[in-house]
Amino acid sequence: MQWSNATFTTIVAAGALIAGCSSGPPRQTTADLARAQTLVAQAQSTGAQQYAAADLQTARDKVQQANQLADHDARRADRLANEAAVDAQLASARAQNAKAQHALDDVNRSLQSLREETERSTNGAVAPPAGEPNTLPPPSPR
Amino acid sequence: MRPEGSTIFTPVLLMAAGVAAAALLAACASRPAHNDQLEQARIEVRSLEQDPDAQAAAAQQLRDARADLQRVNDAFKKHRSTDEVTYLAYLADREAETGKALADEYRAHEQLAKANEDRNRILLEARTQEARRAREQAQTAGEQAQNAQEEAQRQAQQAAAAREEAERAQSELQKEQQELSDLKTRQTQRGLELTLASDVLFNTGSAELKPGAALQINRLADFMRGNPKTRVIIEGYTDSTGSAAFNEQLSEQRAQAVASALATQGIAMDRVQTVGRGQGYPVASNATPAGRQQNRRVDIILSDISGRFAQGANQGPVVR
Repeated sequence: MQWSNATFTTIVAAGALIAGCSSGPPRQTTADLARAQTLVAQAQSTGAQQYAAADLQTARDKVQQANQLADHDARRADRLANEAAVDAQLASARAQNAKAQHALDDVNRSLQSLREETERSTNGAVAPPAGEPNTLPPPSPR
Repeated sequence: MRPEGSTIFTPVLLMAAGVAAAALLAACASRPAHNDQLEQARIEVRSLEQDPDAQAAAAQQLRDARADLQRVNDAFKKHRSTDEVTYLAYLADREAETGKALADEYRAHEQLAKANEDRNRILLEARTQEARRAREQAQTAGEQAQNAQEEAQRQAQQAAAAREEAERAQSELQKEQQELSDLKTRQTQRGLELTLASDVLFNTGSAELKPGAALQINRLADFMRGNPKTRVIIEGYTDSTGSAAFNEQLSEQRAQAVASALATQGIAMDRVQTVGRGQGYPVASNATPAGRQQNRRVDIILSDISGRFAQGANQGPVVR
């Protein structure tokens, strides 16, 4: 009995399908990669590009490497994905911290000028109230 | 000789063998090579643990970092591959650093809240102070306004007093003018002159003042008392009844009668001159009784109030 061409093609295609289904990275690696990508996107949206560019770039590079390695070195890919995840989280935290520090600097600056202004108008030419202490505690540095 | 040589050689060999064995033993007993990543992870996790705000700001990161550090320590003890140790240490290190960034952010927000509180307090104080200053200024302005009002009142009172004084002066002047007009004076070449209403002064041939003369003489006396430098010349006149010599004497007596009346009113006689002008200066016809009555008269010539007479005061009147 001779295999017809059609039959042969079908078998090859089926085999390829089966192979396709059974190959690819293990489920754990895929999940870790997805998580890392989500965390990178989150870091971007918190302003990491501006405030923690190096950490964000490290995370991106590792996600890319993990993607490339996923099919033939699942364990390395998994580790890279997890490293990318902690890198992205660090980028987010650093970006948020930097923004908070900026806001604090702004408020402290305006507070300082407000204090100076108040002091000027208090000690100004207009009838200074005698002996009135203008003592506000300085912001504790902690 | 040989045995001697071999005896020397033997200890050297033994020593070499011992050193080699010791080296081998040491290699077997030694822990895996020192791992920098692990050292850093330990430092970072400890640092996070010592952060006072770690529990409040980064509890999850603290937990994860500790768990991963535990895992890496276990892996290290079990001589797992350097790759695995480094990988786990990296995770612990990054988690700890994330926790520290979160703790820093937490503090920044706390300070931010405090700074905003300070800012609000300063603004409130400034506004309070501003309000107080405005109140003080308003008060000062009020006091100034009151002072100004009092000053204005004082000035108004002064003005009123001055006006009263002026009115008083004016009324005195009017009174003097009234007195003069009451005396029925007239301005002539000889000065201010008045005629005592002759018809009521004397009877024909008499030098005795009739009672009706008193009113006019009193007014003259009042005026002279009010203007103490004023002097007068009293001129007597008669009608043409009787002889001229007699009338000359009679006219002198009539002038004297008026002067005496002034003297009884307290007017000093050095302010009074008398002169009899006789019948030669009639002011009306002697042909009728009414004319004769007008001619029987006494004229008074007043000096100015400083006592000076006009030129011609001592001459007789111009005959009309």
